Amino acid sequence: MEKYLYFRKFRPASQSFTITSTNVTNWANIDQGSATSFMEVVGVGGDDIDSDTEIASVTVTSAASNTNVGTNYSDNDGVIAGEVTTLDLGDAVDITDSKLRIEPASGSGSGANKDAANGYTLAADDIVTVTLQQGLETCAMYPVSGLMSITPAATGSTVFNFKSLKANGTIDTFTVAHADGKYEEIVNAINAIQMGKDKGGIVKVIDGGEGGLVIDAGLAGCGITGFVYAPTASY
Amino acid sequence: MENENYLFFADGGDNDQANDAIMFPASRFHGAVSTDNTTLEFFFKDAAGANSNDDISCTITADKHEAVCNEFASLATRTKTNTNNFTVISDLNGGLPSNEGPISAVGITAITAMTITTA
Repeated sequence: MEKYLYFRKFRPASQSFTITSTNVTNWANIDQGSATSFMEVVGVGGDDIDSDTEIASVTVTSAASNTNVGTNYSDNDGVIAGEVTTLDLGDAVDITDSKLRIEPASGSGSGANKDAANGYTLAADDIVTVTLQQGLETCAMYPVSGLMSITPAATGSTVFNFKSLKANGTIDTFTVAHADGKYEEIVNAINAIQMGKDKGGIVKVIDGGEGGLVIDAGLAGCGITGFVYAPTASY
Repeated sequence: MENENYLFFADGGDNDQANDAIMFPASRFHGAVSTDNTTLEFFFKDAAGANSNDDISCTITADKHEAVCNEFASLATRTKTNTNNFTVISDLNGGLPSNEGPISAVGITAITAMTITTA
């Protein structure tokens, strides 16, 4: 009976950044977070975050009164100390290579680096909090019959190669991070899963959803901590 | 047709136009992937053998990707011995005539819309 291997990234997850005066200087009149110093999300399984669909919310907790915020967040009188503003995700927030960028509301930047309605000009000691959700390519399921090979990439890294979802003759890969020296244990576990007589269903190679890490019992001793997913591009 | 599960998808049309509905043998399933917080896409090897595969893009309840995958896996692997009916993964038709055939289940209820694209 067919088994289905399931991979899900660590979601939901959140991370906060306290803005420094150096940040404020570096980000004058450009997208905040886009140069010199970054708001980089780390520790959520190893894969880059490259899609805005993975962002559930971005909030800014103001350290002090600030009038340089978008008109949609105030009646032109700004925010007060401690006020929490939820940013509009469509216009003023982007993420690439796990680096969060927020357009300022004011300054001399170009139209692409400024949004008077939905931007937010950060000040020192403001706290930016990003919360991540399931989004583009954060979870996937493949039949065991589509598994083409499992190869070691490093002592703590193993690659699962599957027939591509989208195109024949290509492969989609999951590069799984695990404890050192666990390659043979992983291939043994996958072989046991494939040969098992238990009823069909999904087998959680790694499931970082719903606030906890769930791994199939056969793989539980492998120290799996995350994965990088590389499917054939485009939809 | 061999003795295996056949998986049925139908959007909200009346099963009278191309890509209103489709059925695949379970063995042609290539996998599924999330494309946003409310979308899960299922891919099947194209019936015509095209280089690209057929895609069923399903709108689902937010964050229910794992639940939908789990239910899909259960449906796709259930024993069909001594039955004639195929397996409804999702049938979003609401007003088909009663003589339409063996479609007697709505399938996975977390799927609320779909777009069927064949290569």
